[in-house]
Amino acid sequence: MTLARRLFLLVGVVATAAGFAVVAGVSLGLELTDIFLGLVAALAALQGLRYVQRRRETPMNTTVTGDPEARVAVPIPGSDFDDDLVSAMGRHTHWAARKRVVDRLESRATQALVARDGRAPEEAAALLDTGGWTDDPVAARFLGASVSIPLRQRVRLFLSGQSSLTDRAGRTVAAIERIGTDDDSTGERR
Amino acid sequence: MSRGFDTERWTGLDGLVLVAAGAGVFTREASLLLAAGLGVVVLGYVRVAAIPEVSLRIERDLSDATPDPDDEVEVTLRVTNEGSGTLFDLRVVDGVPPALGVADGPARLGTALRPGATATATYTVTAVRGEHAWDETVVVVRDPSGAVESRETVSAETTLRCEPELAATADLPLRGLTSKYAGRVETDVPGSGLEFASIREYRHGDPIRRIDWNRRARTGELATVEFREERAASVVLVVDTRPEAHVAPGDEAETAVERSVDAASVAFSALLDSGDSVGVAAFGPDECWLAPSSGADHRARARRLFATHPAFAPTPPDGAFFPSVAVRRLRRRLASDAQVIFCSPLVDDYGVSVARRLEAYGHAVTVVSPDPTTTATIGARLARIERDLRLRELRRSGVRVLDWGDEPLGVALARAEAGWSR
Repeated sequence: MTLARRLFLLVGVVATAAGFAVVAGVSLGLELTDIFLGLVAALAALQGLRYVQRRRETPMNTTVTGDPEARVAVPIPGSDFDDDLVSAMGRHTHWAARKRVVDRLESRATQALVARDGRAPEEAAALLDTGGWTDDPVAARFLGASVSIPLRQRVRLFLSGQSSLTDRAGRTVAAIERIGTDDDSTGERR
Repeated sequence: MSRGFDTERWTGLDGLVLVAAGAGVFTREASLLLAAGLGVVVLGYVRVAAIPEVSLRIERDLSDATPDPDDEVEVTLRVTNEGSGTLFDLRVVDGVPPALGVADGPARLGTALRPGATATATYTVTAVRGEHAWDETVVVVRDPSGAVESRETVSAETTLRCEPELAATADLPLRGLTSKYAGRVETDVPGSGLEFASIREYRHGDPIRRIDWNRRARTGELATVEFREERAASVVLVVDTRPEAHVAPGDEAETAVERSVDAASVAFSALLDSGDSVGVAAFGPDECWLAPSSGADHRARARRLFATHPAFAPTPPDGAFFPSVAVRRLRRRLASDAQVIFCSPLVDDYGVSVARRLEAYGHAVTVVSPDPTTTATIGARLARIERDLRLRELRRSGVRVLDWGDEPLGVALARAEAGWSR
């Protein structure tokens, strides 16, 4: 206990004893006037408010038990990419994560063009540059091709709320999925 | 009596008491002062609140300590208060092994317990392969007001051991690499066997029953029929148990490692039945090696290994792992004529490089790859594409690959076999 606290305790005990004495009728030169009582009440309320404020800053301290009923959780394949997508939209890790997302999609698109579509690596890189690897202009643009999206489609995308990074990445993944499959017949259009 | 720790639950009540008292004095309202008085009583109680010394005995009973996989096992948890004081607020959370999922009922108990009294909680877990030991049971005791709390752990040793029978539910065809012993793998070596290979000129000492008498009648020359010789293979089943392989398509789904071990145990049994000598290895932080051999003892050893070796546990390992060291060690152990069946989900590029390196060293590699990918999120769809690309890369480099989806292993095998060449 610090010296200050001891002093306050002493003052408190003396004040309480004095209070009881006054109630019992002993005159200590103090009258229980309205002003005096009001002063005491205001002091008490002030101190009370301080305590209440302190409560608001104190978190409850209680044991948190785990979830033993659930099996140990293992990640779903690809969850690292989802995490990257989330942080690419965050404020701080924005650019690095976005670069990781685009780089990964780009290399997978190249690999898919080589492995599924039978292209040479240089040809695949050229296709990515021109956007000729897919019929989806959003996906082509996402991987760096300077394909223009028609104004009407742009407005439609904007109105449907599908212009976020996640949606563009989703369309790119869908476009990579289509590489080498039959419904990619339009892929050679441009 | 122990004090435990303060939960801070009643912090701030003193403030309310003072505010109420101040307001009571100020307004001359007796009821407010009375309320403040009550608050003082509560504060006094909280001040002296304590919890008795916690002394609990825990017993745990399993309805079946050695179940088969997917069996439901009822767990009965009995908590007895061996202390001298009543525990007014007792919460017990059992330490269910991480690999086991609770199928029914919470694995916890909340009660008040007089000295000597016993409370019981019952729940059901679904058994999976492995040896599962229960963790410590967490006990939380509070005084009736909740002002103080104490957390203790009590342990009662319980182990559930689930060792599936090794059943050959699917027959795994092997590749051409064999040992010098007779077996069932058809080789390109001409000799005695069942499948016709070629006809050559008769040499002195050839068995009479392999002479082509039709040809002799037609041309007058002696010729010997040769068959493809059948030999036994030496196979090592390598299970990918790296932390990267611990993935699953969903929360409650089997992990890729569990499915890999399942595939390995099916293959083990099938190969042993057909006379090949089979070994087991884990490719992960926990080392595990069972040299190729055959016989009933070997089968029993492998069964125990698959079920209880920590390397094959369904929970991700946390030790450090140096994959290139592990590949070198594996290579040293593999005999030059050993085939490898590599069970891996192939969710990263390293699994591919392991298979390709072993293939390059001359061990005919077959990859059995349980598919853990889904299409639930964008990342999951990308992971599926990436895995597909890896399988293609492996196939291109001459490794035989079995892509095992949701269907039973035998079905996946029958489908894949059509596209395999020997």
